[in-house]
Parts: sequence; C-alpha cells; structure tokens
Amino acid sequence: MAGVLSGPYADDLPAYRVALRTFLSSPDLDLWRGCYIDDVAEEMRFVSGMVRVIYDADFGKYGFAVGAGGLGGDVRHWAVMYDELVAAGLPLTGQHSLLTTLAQPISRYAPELAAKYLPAFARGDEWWGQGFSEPEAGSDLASLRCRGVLDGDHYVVSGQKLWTSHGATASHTVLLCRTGTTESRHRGLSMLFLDNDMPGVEIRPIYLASGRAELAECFFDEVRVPVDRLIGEAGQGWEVAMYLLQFERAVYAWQRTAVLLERLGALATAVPSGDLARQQLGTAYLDLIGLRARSVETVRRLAAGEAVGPEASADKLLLGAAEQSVYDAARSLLGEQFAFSSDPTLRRWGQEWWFSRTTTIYGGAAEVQRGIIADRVLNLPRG
Amino acid sequence: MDAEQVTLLSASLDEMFVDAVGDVSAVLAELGWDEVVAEDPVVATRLLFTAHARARARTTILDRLVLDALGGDVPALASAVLWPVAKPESMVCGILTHLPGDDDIVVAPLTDAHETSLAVIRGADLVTAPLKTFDPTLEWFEATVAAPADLVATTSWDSAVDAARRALAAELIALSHEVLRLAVAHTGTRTQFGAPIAAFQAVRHRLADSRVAITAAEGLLDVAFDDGGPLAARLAKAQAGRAHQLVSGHAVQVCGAIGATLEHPLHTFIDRGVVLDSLLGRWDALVSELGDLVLTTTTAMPRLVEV
Repeated sequence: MAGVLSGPYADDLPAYRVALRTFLSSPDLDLWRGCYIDDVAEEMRFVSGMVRVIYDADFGKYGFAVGAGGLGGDVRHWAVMYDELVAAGLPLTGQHSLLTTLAQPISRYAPELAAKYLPAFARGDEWWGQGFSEPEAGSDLASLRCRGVLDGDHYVVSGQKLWTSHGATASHTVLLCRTGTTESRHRGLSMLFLDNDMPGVEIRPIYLASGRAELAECFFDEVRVPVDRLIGEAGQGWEVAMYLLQFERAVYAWQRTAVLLERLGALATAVPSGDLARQQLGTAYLDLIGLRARSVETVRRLAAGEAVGPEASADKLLLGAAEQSVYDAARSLLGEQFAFSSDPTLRRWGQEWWFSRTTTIYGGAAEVQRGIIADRVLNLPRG
Repeated sequence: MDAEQVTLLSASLDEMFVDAVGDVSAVLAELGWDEVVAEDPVVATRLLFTAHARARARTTILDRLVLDALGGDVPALASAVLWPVAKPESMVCGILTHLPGDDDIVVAPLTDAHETSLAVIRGADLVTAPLKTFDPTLEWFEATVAAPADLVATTSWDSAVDAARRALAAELIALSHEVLRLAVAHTGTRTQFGAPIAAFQAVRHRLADSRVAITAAEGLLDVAFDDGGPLAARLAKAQAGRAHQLVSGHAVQVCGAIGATLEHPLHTFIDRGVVLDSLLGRWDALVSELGDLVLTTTTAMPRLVEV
C-alpha cells in the first residue's frame, strides 16, 4: 500500500525481541503482571487494556500485514511476543489465541475486511469468535449444516454454532457455513464475517466444568450478511478453514508452551521433591521442550509462507500430551490440596486442569489428528 | 549438502555397514568420510549413526566419536572406551563394546562429585569377561582394571558425553523408524475380518502415536545439534529412548505373535535400541535428572528453543 511501510523490526527478529523485552519491563505494564481473574469475560476486558498499550507502542503491530494496521513481519514475531510476555510475568490469554488463529486467514483471503476490521482486534478493542463446530458437526466438520442462502447481495444465515471460544463477548464471528448443498460436503462451504449485533444473532456463554465461561453457543436466525463479508470466494470456505487450522494447530501450540513452562516452574516451587516429582516434572519438561523443538520448525515454515499440511497434526497431538502432562503432574503432586483448598492460587490448578482436558478435543480431536497422520503421513489403508 | 549427496552417501554407508564388525576407520577413510565430516559434521554424524542402526552394525564408531571428542586429553593411540555402567567408586569397571589387544589403549572416565578424570589403561591390564546383553548379536565385555591406572585430567569429557548422546539419539531414532516401518508394512498386508489390520482404528492410532513420538525426538535432536549443550543433548537422548520404547511396544502389539519371534526382524531393531538406551543414561533416568533441574531452577524454566 502506497505510503505505508513495514516497521523497523519486520526483518529483524533479534532486535524486536530486545526492544520488546525492554518495553515489557516498563512500569506502565505493572498493572497486568501476575494477573489471573476467575471470571473469563472480566479477564478478557482487563487484559485488553494491556493489548492496547502494547499495540499503541507499535510492538503489537508485528505479524500483522501492512495495510491491516500492522507493521509487517510474520508469525515468528508472535512467537517472540508470547515468550516475552510470559517472561515479563504478563498474561497470555484469549485475545492472543483468537488472534493467532483468525488474523492470518482474514488477511490472506479478505484483505479489504482485514484493513477495515483487524486493527481493532489486534489493538484489543474487540475480539472475534471462530464459528466452526455445530451440534451435529464436531470431528466431522464437513457435515456442518448452518446455511447461508444467497438473496440478492446478501447471504441469509440460519443455523447454530457450538463451542465458540469467547463467543459470548466477541464482537464478530468468523463463520463457516454451507452455501451449497448438503451433499456437496466440504466443496459447498463458505466463510463469512458477521457482526454479532446483526439482527437474528443470539449467543449464550457455556461454562466449562472449571466454572469458567470459556465457550459459547451461537444461534443465527435469518441473519442478513452482505456478500462483501465473504472471506475468500463463495465455496472456498473449506480451503480458508484448512489454512486457518495450520495456525490453530501450530502457532497456538508455541503460545501454550510459553504459558506451560511458566506454570511448570510455578508447580515445582509448590510441591515437595521426591522420585515421583522428579519423574513427573521431568516428563512434563521433556514434553514441553519436545513440543517447542517440533513447533519451531512449523512456525518457521508458516512464517516463510509454506503450507504445513497434515504434519501440523503432530504439533497438535504433542500439545495435547504436553498440556495434560503438566496438569496431571499438578493433580498428582499437589496431593490433597488439589481437591481441598480455598487458596485461589491452588484452585487455579484445578480450573486449568479442566481446561487441559479440552486440549485433546478442540481444534480437531486427538483421534482426528491421529487419523490424519495415519492416512496422509503413514499412508495406511483406510477402513 | 544437497539431497542427492545425502542419498548417495546413505547408500554407500548402507553398503559399507552390511556385516561390518569392529573398526571401520579404514573403510570410512576410503569413502572420503573426513571430507564429509569437514563439510557438514552434523549431517555426517546423523548419516553415519542412522546407517549404523539400519544395518544393526557392530562397529566401534561410538568409541571413536568419544575419543575424537576427548581430543588431546587422551593418547592419540587410544582405541577403546570403557563405558561407565553405574557410578564407579574406587574400582574402575565398565563395559567394552569390543575387546582391545594387550597393547591397545583404553580410556575410562572416573567421575567424583566435582569432576571427571580419565584413567588411561593398557588392554593387558584389564580383566575382561564376555557380557550377555539384551541384543544377542552384540559381543560386548565387562572389564575391571587389574593394575593401578594413570589418571589424566580432562576438560572435554562432558562435551564428549553430549556428542555421544546426540549420536545415540540419532541411532535410536533410526531404529525406531525401522521398527515403525516394519509395523506399517505388516499391518498393511496382514488381513483379518476382511481388511488389512492397518485399516482398524485401534491399530492406526498406535502407529500414528509412534510417528508423533519419533517426530518429537527428531525435533529435539535438531535442537541438540544446533545448541551443542548438555541440556539439549540430555533431552534429545531421553526422547529418543522414550520414543523407541513406545514405538517398540506398539509395533510388537500390532505385528501380533510373529513380531515377538526370532523369525521376524522386528526384534533386532528393538533389542539394539534397548541396549543403546542403556548407555550414558536410560531415558527414564535422564527424565529424572530433568525433573531435578525443574525442581532446582529458581528463575524461569530454560526455554531452550527460540524461534
């Protein structure tokens, strides 16, 4: 775009890290250090203040396209951001995971929408939901039934979405819906960008067993969505979704390693040493660094614009194992305190343990990932 | 080094290692291996130990690698390492992967709480006995030192261990690949209930998990070679040994009874891995050491891998 240039750190990752680290140590960010809020909606609102400060100082603009409020660079800038936020004792929460999955596909497949809407998202002013799963379409995503019927220059959307992370507080939904026939399976899908305040949209939060409202259920009743809200072409929805899932499976995994290494360190200070502790904490650490060692290749490939394909399923499976390894260690090593404690620091382990159970379910269940590897990496015969 | 060179070198090594026993330095020299090492030492090490695993060769390349890593700390003529089995106390004892001649020089590490020194021993001063190992093809020996040994100081033992752990990880990964390859081949052709058993989800998921465990080990070995340090080498060998155990368990199960017999080659790659895992720290012992690190780290956990 004429007159808009990429930032000084777009091609200099080491300098970005150094400058970011200095910035994140500033007292301006002390408000958010060590924060953990039980109420998810409140946490999102509170942390969005931090996202804004970092964005306004330009550090939060890397990894976003020039022309979409960004300063260029790529997903490696995000990986650095995740590590440095955690190192500075700052929260890495819903905003970051949603941006990780949604920012790249909209930039690539709908640059005009990205130019108009992405800056507010990247700045923390709002966040978006990812409307993929449905009551009858979980692992079998291509069987989804939420319909978009073309009516002049609008799609009329009717149907339901489920398990939308942070959907109840999101301003928009990136919605995968059927614009072709049911028989067309994945070929008849399109991706639309909805405003959640459009007439006919209704969203209710869903509480995880931890008591945290991480998810939502979305209802669409003849919602009129202009055709210029297509992300990609009509019928290109599956391709956009698969592009998106690379980031969800790989870059998000890197993000979690940053958080989980910090949590592992916290756990180690809270439990007595002994053979069991050594074995479990050592296993969790091996899982985490093994995931990073794998993920670094994937992140670099995505940064270079390569398609990762079925191999990203390995990243996803390693993430599930690592996440559960950390929280199973917590459950085991914290002993009775895991079950009986009024201390919020200890209760947080239980809440996060519940979240860790979902890691092998969301974004394509572990069984689906294993199937992808069996089919497309090992080339095993199909049943 | 480009892909074509790698393929050619791999093929030459495969050929060289067929039935190879003992010292292969001369054959490697003939192959121009020094130049390969000079061009890309990491690729050279990985190719060498990968081919060694595929052939289940019984050569002295691991001893050679350690002696080279010890460099000037040991006599140039040293030809064998006495591998530590448990923490040696006052007596020097360990495992020999080949039997030295009376005049050959053997190097043994002696580690106390603070440092490692090296005992330099003549072959004639060792009392040796054949050692039965989990892999019956290996003709290894246990040895104790009969006479007082010369002790030399060393600053390179720790880095020699790191190098050996990376090499062992490469070999374990290659063994795991072979185990998985055999399991994929067997389950793709073995038909039950009217379908190849690899079409059954219970089988597919075991094989997919095997592949993922190897993938993590490969990533950690890349990191270990990039990083060069002890923590990364320990992680790489731990995951390589762990993956080998996991892949072996799944492979034996899905291959059915034939996979647990001498008539099928599966056991050869499993047996060898069990033995290699036991050198320089079994995977679960290394995991326990990692656990110690986690428990005693007072600052942020080492992230080790940066994008």
